[in-house]
Amino acid sequence: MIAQFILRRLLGLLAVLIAISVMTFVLARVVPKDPARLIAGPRANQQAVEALRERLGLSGTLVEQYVRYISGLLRGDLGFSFSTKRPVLQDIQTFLPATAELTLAALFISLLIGLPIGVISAVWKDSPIDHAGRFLSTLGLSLPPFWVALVGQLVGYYLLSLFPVGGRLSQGVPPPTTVTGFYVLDSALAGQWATMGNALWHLMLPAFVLSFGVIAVFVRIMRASMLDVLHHDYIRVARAKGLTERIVVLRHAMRNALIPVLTILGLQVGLLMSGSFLIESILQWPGLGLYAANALLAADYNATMGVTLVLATIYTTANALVDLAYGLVDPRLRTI
Amino acid sequence: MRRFVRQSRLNGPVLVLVALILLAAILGEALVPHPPRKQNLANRLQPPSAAHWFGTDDYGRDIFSRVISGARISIQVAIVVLSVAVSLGTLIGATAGLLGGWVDAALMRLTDLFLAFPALVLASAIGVALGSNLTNTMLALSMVYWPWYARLARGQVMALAQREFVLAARALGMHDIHILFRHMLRNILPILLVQISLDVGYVILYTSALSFLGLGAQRPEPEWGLMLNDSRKFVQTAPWTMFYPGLALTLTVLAFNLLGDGLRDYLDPRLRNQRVAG
Amino acid sequence: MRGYLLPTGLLVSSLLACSAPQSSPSPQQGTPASTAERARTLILAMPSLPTNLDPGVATSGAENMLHRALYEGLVNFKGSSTVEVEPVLAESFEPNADQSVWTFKLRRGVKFSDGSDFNAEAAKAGLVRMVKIGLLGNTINRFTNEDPENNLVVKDEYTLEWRCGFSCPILPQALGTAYGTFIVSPAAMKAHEKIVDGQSDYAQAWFTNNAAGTGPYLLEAIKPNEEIVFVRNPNYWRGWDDGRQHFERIIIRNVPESSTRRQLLEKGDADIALISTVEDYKALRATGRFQGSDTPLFRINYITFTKRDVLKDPRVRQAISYAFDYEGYANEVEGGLMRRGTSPWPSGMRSAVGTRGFQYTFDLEKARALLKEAGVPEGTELVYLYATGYGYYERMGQVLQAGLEQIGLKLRLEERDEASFNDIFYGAQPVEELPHLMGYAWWPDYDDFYNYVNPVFHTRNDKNDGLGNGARYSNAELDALIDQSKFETDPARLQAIYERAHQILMFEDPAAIYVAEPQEEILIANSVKGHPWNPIHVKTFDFYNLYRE
Repeated sequence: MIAQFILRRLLGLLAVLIAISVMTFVLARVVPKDPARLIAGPRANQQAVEALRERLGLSGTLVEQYVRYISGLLRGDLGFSFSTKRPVLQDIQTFLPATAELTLAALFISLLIGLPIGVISAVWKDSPIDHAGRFLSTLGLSLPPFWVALVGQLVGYYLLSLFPVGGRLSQGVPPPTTVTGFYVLDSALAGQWATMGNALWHLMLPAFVLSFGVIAVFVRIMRASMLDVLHHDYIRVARAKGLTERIVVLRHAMRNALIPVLTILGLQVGLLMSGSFLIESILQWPGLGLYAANALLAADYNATMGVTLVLATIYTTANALVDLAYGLVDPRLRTI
Repeated sequence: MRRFVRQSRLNGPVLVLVALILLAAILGEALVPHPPRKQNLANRLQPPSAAHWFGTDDYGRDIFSRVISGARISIQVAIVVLSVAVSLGTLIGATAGLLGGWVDAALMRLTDLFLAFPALVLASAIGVALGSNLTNTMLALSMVYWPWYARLARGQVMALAQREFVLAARALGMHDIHILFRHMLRNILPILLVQISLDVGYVILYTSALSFLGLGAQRPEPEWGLMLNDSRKFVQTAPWTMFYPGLALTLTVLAFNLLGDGLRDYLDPRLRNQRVAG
Repeated sequence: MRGYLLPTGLLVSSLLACSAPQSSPSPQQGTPASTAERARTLILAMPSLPTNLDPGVATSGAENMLHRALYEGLVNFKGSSTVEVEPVLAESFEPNADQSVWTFKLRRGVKFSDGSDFNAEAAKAGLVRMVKIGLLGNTINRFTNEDPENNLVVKDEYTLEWRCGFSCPILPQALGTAYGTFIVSPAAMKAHEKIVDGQSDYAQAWFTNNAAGTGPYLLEAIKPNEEIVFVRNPNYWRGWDDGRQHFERIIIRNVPESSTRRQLLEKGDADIALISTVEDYKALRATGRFQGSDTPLFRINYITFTKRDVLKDPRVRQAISYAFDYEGYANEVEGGLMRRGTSPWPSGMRSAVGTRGFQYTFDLEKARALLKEAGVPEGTELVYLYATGYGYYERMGQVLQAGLEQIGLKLRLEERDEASFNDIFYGAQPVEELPHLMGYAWWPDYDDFYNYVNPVFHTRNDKNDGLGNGARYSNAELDALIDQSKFETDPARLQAIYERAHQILMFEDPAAIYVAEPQEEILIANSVKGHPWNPIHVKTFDFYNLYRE
């Protein structure tokens, strides 16, 4: 049964990934400009442009183009970015680790801050603390992220000199040897504590700003989930047994309340990816978001589609994994 | 309505705020003290004063007038996007839920496809492909939101299909479509309403984000996100140019979020565990 | 509750900031050179990072800034003079009797960064390369009568004979320019050249991301979207021991956010920055901690007309020219830091006609009348394309948009990053597909009518001279005047040419709206000395001569 469940999920994932590639392909072909001319440059004559068009796989019927596109994808060829003059794949390899590190850090911060507040809100329901928590979390959800980023930089860097601006490491601090591409992790693994400190320092402001909207989500769902769980029978039993409120809350309620949080974890990754487009370009974090924002301004279709494809793939895979894990844990969900 | 207001201390003020925003959207541009697009170069970057409550921007335009006029754009986009998303999504989801079988599977795969893209990523890709203007923004955001309503509708329809009154209606010979429209929509409406109010805020935020990235509204439209984009460079020399559009945006999104929350608590406490974020 | 204090705090502090409108946040006492290493590093904050290091290919101001760190030419303008040159790779130069042949004695003992020797062969190869690639070859082309292969003669290992084919007294001055005269290592060119269909690319692909020059700095790293780092060339022929604290490392950072560039400068985390808003510029100069220039550059910011659709009729272009608020733009929008445009080529140049010739005023009545005469339908939409990052292109566009709206025309503003804008501006699309209006700026290589007007306004031809003519402007009479000016020496006849050219370009067949003449938008921290503020060297630096004090 488990095997069947896993297989079905994986097939579903594959189907969606193929559909994503079709969608991205269609979007890229809808483009009114001539990509071959744009890459060949102004000096090339018509013959050279036609030859390039052949090489780029832009000739032939749509189906032929799609087949070539897919085989290229499987080989890892995402096209050529004419704003950086490098293959898109290379650009993505350069910038993805930075965004991944930022997204994970923001996720971590949101969980760290959001979950406890949600619990407190639920346990002291309808108290001033609860109201304040709910209001402020909704506020966090409503603040435009780019506004927060700008003000955050003004206050954090300019006024208070608490944080640096731009880059993942300060001048003169060489990056650690690449193991994961996450500077914080890699420098820890290499024992370069000063580098790790520096990387963390650069990471803090962008990660914090990015986490805002997501903190609110976790507060709300944790609160709702805790409230739900706290009324269940097994909690009453635990209370009746004479266990202290603290143990009731921490040991029994929270564990069950966390389950809905896990299910939406994947969704938050999507929110964070969207947010990174904005935060990275304002705070100069050299990740995919900054790359994509520049590509958008340059109308660089290959780069934009490449980023779209990669992010959608990661997002879907993350959600599928969460689904899978959740399904493995709770048999009731396997029939969906 | 009265019960709603009494349910929580927030609900009354929130309703008032939403009403004010809608009022600004409908009447605003006609009633503002200065024409929102008129430049007055001798009057650039003036701080807030009696003549200009929110100050002027770098072309001498009155920011208060621009902020109020911007409400119309944001609300308009929200209405269009959500109308398309809700109708399209509900149609697809209800059909999937009712018909079941391979239709259901196919439509759900389609839904999954659109859900596979993070919102801004999809909207940007569409914006780049089709061109930067508000119409394409509305199209792009509709594509982002309809899958959620499809899922919602499908879930509701499938749950309701088991209920007695539906079985009874079927037994009496009513057609499925009839059942759908007569009974199911009425039951879906509350949760739909909640979701829509919550989504208005997000749609407005995403619209401004797209304008911020250069993809949405174009100058000289007084769209809030675009105003924020243009005022980035004045964050130190003229902070009011960034503050007031940001405030308007935040208050609007906040108002609709709180409205959605209040509606949810009012209409059905069991709904609290449904989808919270978008 | 950290997460919630901060947003509230931010709101409150923003409210406070607004209630004290005139005060900017108190500037930190930035210490530009607090550590020894920081003192030896020069940090620049620029709105965009160029992507091409090839001195023969790049055309924008941003790229040229990089070239001067890596490469050198035969001579260079001396300090802030736009006429006098000093020897660089050429030790001396002598003309013959009628000044049609110049003999350059080249410097010995200079090596390229790849170890190969600099000599007359290398100089010739480098100069010929400019012409062969085609984008920046107009200076070399002009003074070798379009035949550099035969007119640059290697007399012996260190002597290069330059034959103009006509009397060319301004040749040395022309070579002082920073465009199109830099010499790359011929060994590197040979080693990395790619031949496609019998055509050589002159190693352009390699030189895009690599360097092999004689210049004071070497390329250390390119981090896309982040920064470009140069490190001192230990074997640089001028040597580093002259008592001044030259820079060991140069970092050019990509900082698209305008307010961030200002903050970096104020905090001392950048030494040089391009400041995009008038307010920031004035605020920074008022602190007294930064050096800037007060003299206008030999430069014009303008909006080109593409002769397509309704713009084919000169009356429509005149109407649009009457609909721009020149004074308001220069004095209000640009805060008096620019002078309104009065001439199709910079008014500081010796050949400018300026206010003695035809001028536009901001006259909406006249504009409407002209449009009506030309029969342009109300509500016609035009597109204005410009590059992002520099501020003024967008500002010009918004002012024009407001003016056009009052005469019944709609202007759509389209923004691109600099590289993509250049792709369109220098592209090969047919005229019908170009945007109606494009925001651009141009400055001459040296103070000469032909040098400015030819690349910007001459009908494009295959000989790569029409480099600045992105809008593909074409006027037969103007072409003839330009060709005549190339060799004309009689002052009276030259004056007649200048006046006629002014009339055509301004009024009879407008090529552009000549909006304003700006000052340099660069600000330099007080601790960095040695920048000459040369009005022709726009947005570019002689890095070797900068030092920390």
